[in-house]
Formats: sequence, C-alpha cells, structure tokens
Amino acid sequence: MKKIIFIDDDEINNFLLENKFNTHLPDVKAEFFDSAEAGLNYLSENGEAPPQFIFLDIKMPAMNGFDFLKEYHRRMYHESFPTRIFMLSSSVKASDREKSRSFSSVEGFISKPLEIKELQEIMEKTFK
Amino acid sequence: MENEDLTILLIEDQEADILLFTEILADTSYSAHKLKTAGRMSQALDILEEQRIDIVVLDLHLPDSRGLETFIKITESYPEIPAIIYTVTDDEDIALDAIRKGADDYLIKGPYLDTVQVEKSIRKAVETSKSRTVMQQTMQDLKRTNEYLEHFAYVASHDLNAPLINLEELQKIVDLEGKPVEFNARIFHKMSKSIGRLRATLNSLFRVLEVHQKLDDTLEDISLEEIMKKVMQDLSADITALEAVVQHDFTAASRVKFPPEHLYEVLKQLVANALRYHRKNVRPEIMVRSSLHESDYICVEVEDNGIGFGGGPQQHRIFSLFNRPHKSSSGHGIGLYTVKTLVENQNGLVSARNKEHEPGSVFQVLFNKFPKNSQT
Repeated sequence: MKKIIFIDDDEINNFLLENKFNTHLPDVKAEFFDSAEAGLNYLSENGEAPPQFIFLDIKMPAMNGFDFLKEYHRRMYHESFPTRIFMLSSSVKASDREKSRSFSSVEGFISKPLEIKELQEIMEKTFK
Repeated sequence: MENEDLTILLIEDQEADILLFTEILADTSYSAHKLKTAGRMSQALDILEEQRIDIVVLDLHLPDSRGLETFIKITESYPEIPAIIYTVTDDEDIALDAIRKGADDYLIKGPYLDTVQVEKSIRKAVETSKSRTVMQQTMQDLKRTNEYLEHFAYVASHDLNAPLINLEELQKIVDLEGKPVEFNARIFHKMSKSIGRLRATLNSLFRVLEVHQKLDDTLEDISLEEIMKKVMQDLSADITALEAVVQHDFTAASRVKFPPEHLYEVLKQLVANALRYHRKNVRPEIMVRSSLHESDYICVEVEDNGIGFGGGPQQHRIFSLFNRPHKSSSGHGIGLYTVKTLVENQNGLVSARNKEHEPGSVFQVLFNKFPKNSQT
C-alpha cells in the first residue's frame, strides 16, 4: 500500500485533496495532519512503516514547515526513512523556495493546488 | 545675522595660532566664547568624550600625534562631527589627503586667513554635516519602509492566494446534477468559509494601511497615566467580562515623547493582547510598569499570567504580520505588528519573552528618549 501524508493547517485544502484521492487514486492511502506537531507524532509512532511521501505546507501557526524539517533532521529521519518530502505551499516568496532547497530531504517545491497529474508523475518516478 | 551657538573645539598646541583663530572667530557670526581648546590629542579626546562638540578645527601636528593620523584618530571615533583642518602652507598636501578622507575643509594659517574664510568654512561644514544626518535618517526610513512593504506584499499575497485557490478548486468539484445534495451543501459551506477568510484578510490589510498612513503624526511629551486611563476605558467591557485585574505603575518614568494616538494604539494592543491570551478559568492579572532603561530609553513592560506564546523558533515571529501564535487564536496577527511598526518608527524597540517559572509573558517596549522627529 502506498502511503502519503499531508501536513497542512488549511482544512479546506485537506478536504479538497482527500476528495481528489477518493476520485482518482483510490488505491493510495492518504492521511492528513493539521499541524507540524501532529505530523511528527505520527512519524514517531509509525517509525516501522514510514510514509513514501510527505507533502508539507510552510505557513502554519506555532511550528511552521521549516520548524518541522529542522525537527525531522534532528531526529535523523532523513537518514532512516526512505520518505520523499515535497513542499506544498501557496507562498510566492523566492526565499521560501531557496530555504526549502537547503534541506537535503526536500525534493521539490510545489505551488498549490496540487494537481492529480503532477502527483501521478511524481509517484510514477518513484515506483517505476 | 543670527548668532549661532556652536561649540567649536580647536585642537592646536601653538599659542599664536590659537590667538589668531580666536580673534578671527570673534568677528564671525559664531560666538568665540564657546570655543574650547586642546593642546594635545589626549586632551582633545577627553573633551569630545565629556561634552557635545558641534565642530572640530584641528592642527595636524600635535605633541602626541602627527600628520594625517591626527585627523583619522578624531574622525574614526566621531564620524558625525564635522572637521576642518587648520594647517600651514607647507602641509597643504596632507590637508588635501585629509579632505579625501572626509575632512570638510581646510584653513591655511597666516596673514591671509580672514573672517570670510573662517565664516564660510564653518558654515559649509555645519550645513554639510546637517544634511548628512538628515540623509542618513532618510535612508534608514526608506530602508525600513521598503522592508515593511516587501513583507506586507508577501504576506498579503500569500494570505489572499490561499483561500482563493481553495475557492477555485471547490468550484471545480461542485456538481449539482451528478453529486448528492449533501455533498454540494458541504462544498458551498466551505466556499462561504473561504470567502469569509478573504474578507477578513482584506479587512486586516485595510487596517494595516490605515496605521501606516498615520505614521508621521507629531511628537508630544505625553503622560503614560493619561493614555492608560483611556485604554482602560475602551477595554472596560473585556476587562469586566473576564474579571481581569489590570494595574499600572508609572512612578519610575511617567512621560514619553511619542505621537499620542500611537501611544494609545501601542498600549491598547498590548493590554488587549494580554487579555486575549488568558488561561482558561484563571483570572487575568496584568501589570503595566515603566522604568528607565540605559540612558536612551524609557521602558514600558506589560506582564500577564496568560498562556504565553510558543518559545524557541516562534519568538521572532510573534511581531510579524498575520502571525498567529496558536491555531485556535482569535486574533488576526495585526495587533503586535502594529505595535512594532509604531515603536520602531520612532527608533524604539520591542521584544517579548515568556516568564521562566510561572505561566505568562512579558512584552517590553523601549521608547527612545530622542525619537526620530526630534533629532532633525
């Protein structure tokens, strides 16, 4: 089973994605977390079966996406997990992209909305 | 001609040259009785340390310092004070070097030195230095405004973009014929939520713009007590509803130089913030206290016993636009941004910390005793 997690405080965005998965990718298990803390908790409880993908928002209250990444690296998940991380944001700031690139675990930066076609391409590359 | 009250420091070890300069200065519009003299570099530096000097006139050859280095020693420590080189014909080359290094002018000692030269030289040096100060302040203001605008544009675009993207996506999946009524109703509900978010963000932006437009209000010497009274009145509904205890103590420092409306806004936002982030079932206790901070600032602290804010990485974000420290917070993230903008605009500083051994936070504002508009 392919497992993808989304970390985003935007509840509508999560609803939209869930709807897309149900319609177009019913064989993928997508889980949604509305805060970086909740995402980290999930990872520490599911260290045996980490997700293949994390899609991560940047601007969130309390811990933001970059705080999440720092903690992710501090816990050495970037070495122990095969997980691929993509930033998924509506930020238009160039420095947000650059900052994302500075984390070795981040593979790409996607501007919202995430299109199913884009997601399929990313998944095909991984599971080929 | 107006008699200008400049304090001039003449750095010169030769009696005759001091006398010459003093006599000529007496005939200019600058008063000679405020002239200070120093025969040695060490003495000159002591005087500069102790009192305000408006202009330095200096000989480059002193018993304890020689040549260009004399000028450099002064200008490195006091770059803002205009300097005129006072020299002999033989040393014109060194005087020129000093001009290249930033000296304002030079005067050649001797029988040809006259009132017009000295008057012109001092006048020009003082004016140049004044406009240099104004220019530096303007540059600093511009830089700050630019940073604000950039940040503002970024935050605005993000916070407007996110709900708009949601609306576009929601609109795509509405399907009145093919989907059950409940599904469509859910979509419409989310659409109206997104519209609400767009409206709230825009309203916040309008408020921020309003604050920015009010930025160059005139400075007044105002009583903290007086403004605090007004704040308490305007927040009385919230204070009563929460049964909060709000106290203040301005005995250590009772007045600040600040635009009155801005001071009202700063205090109101800080107290409102302290009220908003109270702990559940704990009566809010808020203390507003003033104190003297180093020699340049008057410090006002607002201390509460509320929930505080996430420490660590959040600390520097708490004052940014549209930042909400808690997911559940009812604030829009403009209040503290406004406080920071207004205070920094008058060369003050803001900071916040959580209390160490008990719940609650302390917000500190340092009001500059010499705010921007009073300096120019």
